[in-house]
Formats: sequence, structure tokens, C-alpha cells
Amino acid sequence: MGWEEYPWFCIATLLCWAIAAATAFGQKHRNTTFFLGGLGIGIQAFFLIGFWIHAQRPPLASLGETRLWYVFFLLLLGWFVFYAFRYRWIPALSWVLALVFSLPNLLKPELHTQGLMPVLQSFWFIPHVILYIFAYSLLAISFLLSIYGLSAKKGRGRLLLEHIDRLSRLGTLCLLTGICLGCVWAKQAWGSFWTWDPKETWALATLLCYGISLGLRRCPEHPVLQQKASLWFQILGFITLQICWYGINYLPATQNSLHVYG
Amino acid sequence: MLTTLVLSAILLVLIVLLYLLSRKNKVLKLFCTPLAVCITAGLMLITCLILGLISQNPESQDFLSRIGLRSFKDSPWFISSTMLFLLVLGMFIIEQYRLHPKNTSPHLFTGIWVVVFGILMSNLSIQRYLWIGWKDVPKWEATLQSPDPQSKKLPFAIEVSQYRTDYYPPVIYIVDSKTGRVLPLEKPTSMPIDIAQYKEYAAGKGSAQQKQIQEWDIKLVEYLPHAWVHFTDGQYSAESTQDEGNAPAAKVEMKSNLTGETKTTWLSCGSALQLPSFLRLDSSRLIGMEDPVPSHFIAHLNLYEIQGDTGIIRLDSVWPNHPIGIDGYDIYLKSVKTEAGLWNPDVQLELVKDPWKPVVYGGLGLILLSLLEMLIKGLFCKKKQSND
Repeated sequence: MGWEEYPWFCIATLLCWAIAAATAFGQKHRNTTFFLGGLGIGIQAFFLIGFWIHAQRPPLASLGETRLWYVFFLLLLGWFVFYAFRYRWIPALSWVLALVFSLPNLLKPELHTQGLMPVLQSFWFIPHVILYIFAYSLLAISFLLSIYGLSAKKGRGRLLLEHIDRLSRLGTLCLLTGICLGCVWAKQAWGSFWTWDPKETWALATLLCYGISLGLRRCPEHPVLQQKASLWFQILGFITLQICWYGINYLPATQNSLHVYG
Repeated sequence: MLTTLVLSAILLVLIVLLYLLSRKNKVLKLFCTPLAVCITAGLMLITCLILGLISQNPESQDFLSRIGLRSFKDSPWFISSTMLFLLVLGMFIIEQYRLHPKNTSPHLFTGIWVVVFGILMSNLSIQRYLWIGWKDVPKWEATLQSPDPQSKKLPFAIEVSQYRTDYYPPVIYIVDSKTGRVLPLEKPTSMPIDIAQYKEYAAGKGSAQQKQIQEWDIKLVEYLPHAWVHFTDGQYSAESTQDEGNAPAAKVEMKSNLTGETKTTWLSCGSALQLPSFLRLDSSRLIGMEDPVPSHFIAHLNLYEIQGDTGIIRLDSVWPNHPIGIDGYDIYLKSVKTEAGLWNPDVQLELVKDPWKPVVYGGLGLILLSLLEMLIKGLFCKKKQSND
């Protein structure tokens, strides 16, 4: 199973989720949402596993392959957040994000599948990248909630902030763990824990943004900082996250990065 | 190393001193709050963003380099913002231990402090040496990689006894002959040679590998992993050989779905000693084979160590993500020159001396243990709530 078969799986996943997102707005169709959402996630997971077996390596080496995992985790977390927190619009926005990140894979599939470079053949490769993509997905959901929070009415603010807290705390800890694993891997591969590669620089910027956001949540004596400013840092963090993930492929200052996807 | 030790001592003393003073001073007390940590982290973030948007080039002599924006390692802005962050975070951590001794978060912050501090000190004091050698020639010297390279005699000798590079199966593709881009442009397609399928086909058990690229049906009829390709009387032929400069070669039969035209040719990526073999399809396209991509490389080393009046020879191997530790150095496989083919390559190793390595690993361990503790505490807390 490879990129040639991907369009069918992608369309099936997105179709399930389109219906799930539509039914999420109705009170009576919650079971349909759960079932179709779960089915869509299962289809994506099935493709990932099949790709892994076909390529005989984890599908994590290129930008397109990381997008597969991002879509998988986005849908999984959107499904979980809908189940746990009952935000009826979450499946719809998760679907939109998943569609946006699936389109490049549909329009320009990487039919030239490459083997894994020797430097990527490491024990740390899989946990490092998967934790990162999982963190990206968590922080994408918290970004959506932050946008909602900045426009939310006062009455809904406190509960919403708690939910953003939970997601961004977990996302930031996953980012931190991903960075720690990356440091260990970098030491084994290149002899330095941190080489100021542009990818690492932007990963640090992302971690700092989310760290500041969580830190501001611990300042109850400054309500504006605790509530509004922390949400703005969530949004800034999401932007730096996108730059870290694929923006460095396009920034002129970062073209010498070892992490620029081929 | 001495400089970094002095710097660390000054920082630690400053943290403790300022914290003790903050117990009696309201202004200094503000440095122990989460807001102060956020502000100093914000300063680090600003320098990170500015430096991240500027192309990093430590050797540059332009205006941006003179004001310290061309290199993170040498940037006074970044180093001072990091030191300030460490100072404030240190004071915050001590305050957290005093107020919430049983919480997990102080351990996590301590781990973060140790890692940031350790990496900063490591980057300031790390020494990298380049060792270049040839097979069966022991060598005791390496060159320090610095603006002023110096040769250094090592406490051990390194000799390359054997070296091997494995390659992924080659890939056949059709390219635009002017730009070299893989075609079709909207969906770049290629045909990686399936060795297993070819072996079955060659044994008469399976079918030949086939793929359609644009209007061409391409069929692999013969594959030689080590070959020499000749061009005689207007066509290519190939013979299997282990001679120096050999390259993989594939014989393909092609049929156009548009015109019905058929072509047969040998394709090869070539090597340092033979040109690549390709076929021109028309004025703008040709079919060829990509240069082989290494899948794995390994160097087997003999390490000669002096121990008192005698010496020992240690046999070890180094490959990517698998350095060798010896006498305080870590040996990494940097590169191997293969332009001259498989015979007598130059091997480049990098020897790294990093005295702050244990500190960083300690900090990383502390972070991971605190995350584990948080997870376990969180699960127990949930269980207790559900039981209540």
C-alpha cells in the first residue's frame, strides 16, 4: 500500500468525517458522529499501517508522510475532545484542518518514495517524530479553542480556559519530551545536543511561546495576562509551530537546515 | 572548561545570593514569580525570533555579524537573555521548592534549568577534532576544528581496517532534459528497482517488474548490481564486473502507449570512472537512473591504546547514530570518500570532547522522570476521585 492508493483512503476518511462533523451539530445524532468519526480514524490508521509494512520503514521521513500522521492525530484528538468536552463545532474544524493538510498529499503525492537515510536509522527517530506530530495536533485543537476563547462570551470563559489548559499543557509536555529525545538523538548522530539548526531554533521558539502561555496562566493577580495574553501566546505558538514544521522549507534564512524536507 | 566552570559557579552563587536577598526585598521578590520567568522567557523568545529570521553565518563580517546577529553561539543578545532566564528561573525554582516541596513541577523546572544550562556550557566548551585516514594506516593525530586549526596528538591511534557502504536499489525515472526535474511535473513518478521481484523473474518464477511513466510502459528485463556499460555501434551493452568503478545497470524495454514505438536500452547511474547511461526519448525528455543512495555505511576500526608499558588493541565499529567512546572522546563517522570507487576510500571521523555531557544527560533524565511522576500522580488522582 503506497501513495498510489492514498487518494481512496483519504477520500473515504474525509467523507466519514464530513458526515460526522455535520451530525455533531444535532443533539440526536451523537452516536452517528462517534461511529463515523471512529470509522474515519480507523481508515486513516489502516493506511498508515499498510504504508509502513509496504515501505518497510516508518512513514516519517518526508513532509508528506508527517502530514499523514498529523491528519490521523488531528481527527483522533478532535473526536476525543468532542467526546470529553462536547464542543459541537470541534469535529467540523478538525475536518477542515484535516482537509487542508490532506490536500497537498492528494494534489502532489510523493510517488518517488525514498528509503531511510542512514542518519534517520535510529531508535529515537520514531518516538521523536511521533511525539512531535502528536503535540502539533494537540496544539492545533488548543489553537482552535483559543480563537474561540478570544471571541467567547464572559460566561463560557472559565471552563473554556480549563480545557485549553489541559490540551496545551499536554501538548507542551509532548513538545518538551520530543525536544529532549531530539537532543539525545542529536548527540548520538552529530556529537552536539543542540546545533542551532533552523528547525531547532524554531522548535525552541515554539516551546517558549507555549511555556509563556502556560506561565501566564499562573498569574491570577494579572487577569488580563492570565486570560487574554495567554491565549494570544497560544496563537503565536501555533504560528511558530507551522514555521518549525514546514515554514523553514520556504524561509530564505533557513535553506541550509539539515531538517529541510527533500 | 575552566571558563565554563567559573561562569557556572558565578551563576549559581548569584542565584542563591539574590534569592536570599529577595526574602527581605520586595523588588527582588518579584524575580521569583512566574511573571518574571515569563518576561525573561519572552526576551529569549524575541532574540530567538530575530536570529531565526536572519541567515546564520558565524564567518560573516557584515554589519549584522558585528552587532551579534549572525551566530547564536556568539550572540551577546542571546547569551545574556539566556543567562538572565536561568538566573530568574533558578530563583523561581528555589521559591517553588520552599512553597510546594511535594509538587512535581519544581523537579521539572529543575530539569529544564539543568538542560538549558548544560547545553549552553557544552556549546561553549565542546571540542571537535577531524581525523582523516586511509585503510590499514594507523594515525595518532587529529585536527582541532576551530578558526585556528591545530594538530593534536591523541592518547590513542585509530586505524581503519574495513569499510562498507550499502545502497538502496537504484531508481529509474524520466526527466526534463533541460531542468533535470522528474516527470510528470504534477505527479513526479519513478520506478525503484524491486530486487526481490527481479530475482524471481530471473529464476523464471515470476513476472518482470513493470511501471508506466507518462505514456511509456517500462519493463525491467535485466539488472546487474555491479556492471560496466559500453556504448558501441550506437547502442549500450553491459557486462557484470567487480572492477573498480563499476556501477549498477538495468536493461529496460519500453513501449509508448501513444505511438506504439518500442525501445530497449541499458541504463546506469555511472560512477567516478564511467559516464551515466541514459536514453533520449525526445528533444525534451530522457530516461535514466538516479545516483545510488546509501542505506547504511560502517567503518571497522582498530583502536590502539597505551596502558602503562604496554598497549591494547580494541576492535570496534562506528556507523551513523552509533559513536564509539574512548578516553573521554566520542568518535563519530563523518564521511567516506567514494569517488575513487570501492578501493581505498578516505575515511573522515569526528572526535568530540564534551565535558558537560553528563550534566545534560542528568537534566534530561530529571525531566523525563518528572513527566513520569506527573503521569502516575495524575492517574492516581483520577482513581481516587472516581472512588470518592
